[in-house]
Amino acid sequence: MAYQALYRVWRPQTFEDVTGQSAITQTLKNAVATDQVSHAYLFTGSRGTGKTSCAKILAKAVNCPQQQAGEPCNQCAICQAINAGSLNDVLEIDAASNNGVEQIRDIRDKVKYAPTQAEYKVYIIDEVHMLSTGAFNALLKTLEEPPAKVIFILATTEPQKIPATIISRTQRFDFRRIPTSDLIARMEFILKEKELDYDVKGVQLIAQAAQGGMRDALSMLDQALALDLQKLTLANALQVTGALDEQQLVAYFQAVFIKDAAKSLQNLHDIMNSGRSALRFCDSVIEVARDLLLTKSDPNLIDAAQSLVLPETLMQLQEQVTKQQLYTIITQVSQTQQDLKNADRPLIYLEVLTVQLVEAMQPAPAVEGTDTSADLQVKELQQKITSLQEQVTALQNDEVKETKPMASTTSKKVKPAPKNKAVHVDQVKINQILQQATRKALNQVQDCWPDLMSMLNVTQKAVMKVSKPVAASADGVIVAFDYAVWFERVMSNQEMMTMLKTNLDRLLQNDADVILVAAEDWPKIRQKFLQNHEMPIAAPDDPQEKQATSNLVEQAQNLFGTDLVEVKHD
Amino acid sequence: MTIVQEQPQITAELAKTITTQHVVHAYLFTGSNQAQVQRVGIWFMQALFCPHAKEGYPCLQCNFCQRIQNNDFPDVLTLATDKKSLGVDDIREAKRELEQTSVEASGRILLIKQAEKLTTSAANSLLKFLEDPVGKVTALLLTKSVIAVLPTIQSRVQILSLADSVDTNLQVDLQEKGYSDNDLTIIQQAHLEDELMANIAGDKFKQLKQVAQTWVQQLAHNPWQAFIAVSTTILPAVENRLQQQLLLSLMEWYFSQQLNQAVDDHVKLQWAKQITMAFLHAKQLWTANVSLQNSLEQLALQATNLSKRG
Ligand SMILES: [Zn+2]
Ligand SMILES: [Zn+2]
Repeated sequence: MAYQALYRVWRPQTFEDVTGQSAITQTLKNAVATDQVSHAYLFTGSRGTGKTSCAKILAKAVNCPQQQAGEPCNQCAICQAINAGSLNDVLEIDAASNNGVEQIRDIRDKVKYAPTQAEYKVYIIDEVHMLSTGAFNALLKTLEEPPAKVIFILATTEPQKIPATIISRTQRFDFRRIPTSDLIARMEFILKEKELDYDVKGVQLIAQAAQGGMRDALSMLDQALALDLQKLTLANALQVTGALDEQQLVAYFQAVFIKDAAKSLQNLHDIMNSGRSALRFCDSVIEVARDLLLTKSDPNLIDAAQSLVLPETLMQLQEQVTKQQLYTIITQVSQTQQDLKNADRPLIYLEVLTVQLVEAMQPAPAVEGTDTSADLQVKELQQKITSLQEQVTALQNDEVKETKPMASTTSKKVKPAPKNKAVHVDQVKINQILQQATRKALNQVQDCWPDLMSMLNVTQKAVMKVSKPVAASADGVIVAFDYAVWFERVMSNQEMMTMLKTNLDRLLQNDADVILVAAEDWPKIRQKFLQNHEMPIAAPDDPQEKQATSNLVEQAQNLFGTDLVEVKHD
Repeated sequence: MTIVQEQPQITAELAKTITTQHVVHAYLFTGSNQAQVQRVGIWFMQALFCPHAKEGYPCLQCNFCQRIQNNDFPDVLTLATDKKSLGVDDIREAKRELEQTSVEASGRILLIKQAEKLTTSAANSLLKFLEDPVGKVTALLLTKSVIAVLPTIQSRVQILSLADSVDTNLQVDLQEKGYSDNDLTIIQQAHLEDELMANIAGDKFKQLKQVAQTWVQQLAHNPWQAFIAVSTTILPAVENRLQQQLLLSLMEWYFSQQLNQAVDDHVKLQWAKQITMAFLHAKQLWTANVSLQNSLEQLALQATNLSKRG
């Protein structure tokens, strides 16, 4: 068990070695060279982007007696002691394990003493977002009155969890995701140093799967090399990354684009049966859609996004989709990725997603009004709905007969009335109740509501479950239903209405009427009442107008984040 | 069948890392069948410690292999819990324990079962350890869901996924408990292996299967009836949370079937998609501790709305 993982062996030892963060390393080098080092730094950025490595290099650089142009020598006793983790003046603290106020107070006490061997005392606090509130406060005190010759370097993947008071006292550096091309270069460098043969496509595949993290990339490289000590093969890279191969992807996209749901699902199953993970699947689909989108807009943007050029077979697919459809694909896959976090079994989510994507390929009816096939579909759809509704009504009537004869009015229900409310809401009666309504009356109704429910049979109880009293006066009670369907059912059921009123009156010992409303209408009804009675009401929020931005880069950046879409200005 | 026969690829891969001395300090094994993931984990530990191993494959006979199999090996420290989560205190204790040098073998192993149960703070407190373990320690994390493990942990471990394969041990076990071949097929295809670890009798499984299937059909044809059936049929059939879990998993399977069978009919497919989405939402509510009754009744209500709008 003595093997050292590549990412540990090839940890950068100088600023020059750090991959993909040249702006940051240049600034730090200058600071060291010109003796203008801050007393507190905050390094933020996603996993494996070089935060801790830079912190250690900085600790060496400020202390190395042979420092040159801001770089440590890595030869002297100080540098080597820091590399070995044995220099008392450079302390690495794991905030996740030592997150209590006690530990930070301990630092505060010891920080006063001058460094013993080195010039600067350096505290590197990793995963700093894990500190408790008390610990943050203690840390803040130290940062507010920094002792001379002490440097704090705070590192975190989650800057949003750091108090603003702390951030304002530090110099902040945001480590970006490492561009794919830089990951490739670093891996090729290591492979050459180790004198190993490699398939360029295999290296590219790993770089893409690493998504900007050097540690991820080297970890996968390690794993692939364990399978074949002499050579990095494409096959092993495929196995380790779990990436989808080109043919699988092309087949899937083609099936989706021709709106063939059966084939799309079949291809999905093939991909998943070949051992690909749901997450990789989603990543790949987004990558392809993103590249197609960029190619469609401006082929030059592909370079800006630092993506690899899509294989020819996939590029050809771009003719078959609109930009809007590609946006929809990306949005829906991203949503599915979120859902997958709580999923026991990912497959069903991907099946639903696949059907959604096929749907997204259907032409919008408003635009393609002349399309007869679309018209046919709509007609077919309407027929289905009607027959379905008849079925439901018929079954509902059966059900009613089985349990208890409900009311003579059920026959009216045969007439389907999906859009316009079949049942009239008695606004006059509602206004009367609202005029007299009191909080106390409502509380009384709410108190006896469970008792009322217990008087109902199973079926009635089931129906009333989704209702609740929303207003009450001595003369009446307004009950809101979550679903308009049920509200209509109960309203048109005379027996049930009578039952409700009788029992409620008995419980409340008054003669209150029961008025039903649909919960979704309730705000409107209330507003109408308030308007009629000239009471001040808050204006409803204006629906935020979505601004259509014509700038494509901006759109892409909004979609993918600024990390991935970078426009070169030089 | 042995685990090597069931999982030839991953075991060969692991054997190779041992013979080529490429064993790294942290692994994460994942697969939909937790029992199988565990068996691969045990096999790997045996391979690491077995003094008679051939080309990376353990002998499975010797004293070392046996004791690892029986979870009675001093140099393997196991972290597992029946509770909902593994906390930072559990990790702290394990780290303290590991700081002592190994008792018998050349190194020690920290085995974490159900790594998805690690709380964020627990996972965070593992990070440093995974990167620079004290002494010769290999961390072995097992999980059914890589996504549920903190990303910063993911990048510090080598992730190996088990291929989908038949769990023969479980099959024999279930046949003895009265499961039919058809039941076994569903269990395998729907990945219900984990739910069955709770020892559900064959009869109970059949009953729950029937309830699930009927209800999914009812939801399509008569949501109103399905609504009533929640309190009249479903609730009396499930005795505890584990059975609820199995019932929901079975429903999920039938919803998936329904979706796949609707592909040739645009309208049916549209409906199947929407009801499946509604079901997945209901299932998440249940996971978040909304009662089974409320989750399913709400789903039935949504179904009536869906059929109304078309
Ligand atoms: Zn030096
Ligand atoms: Zn042995």
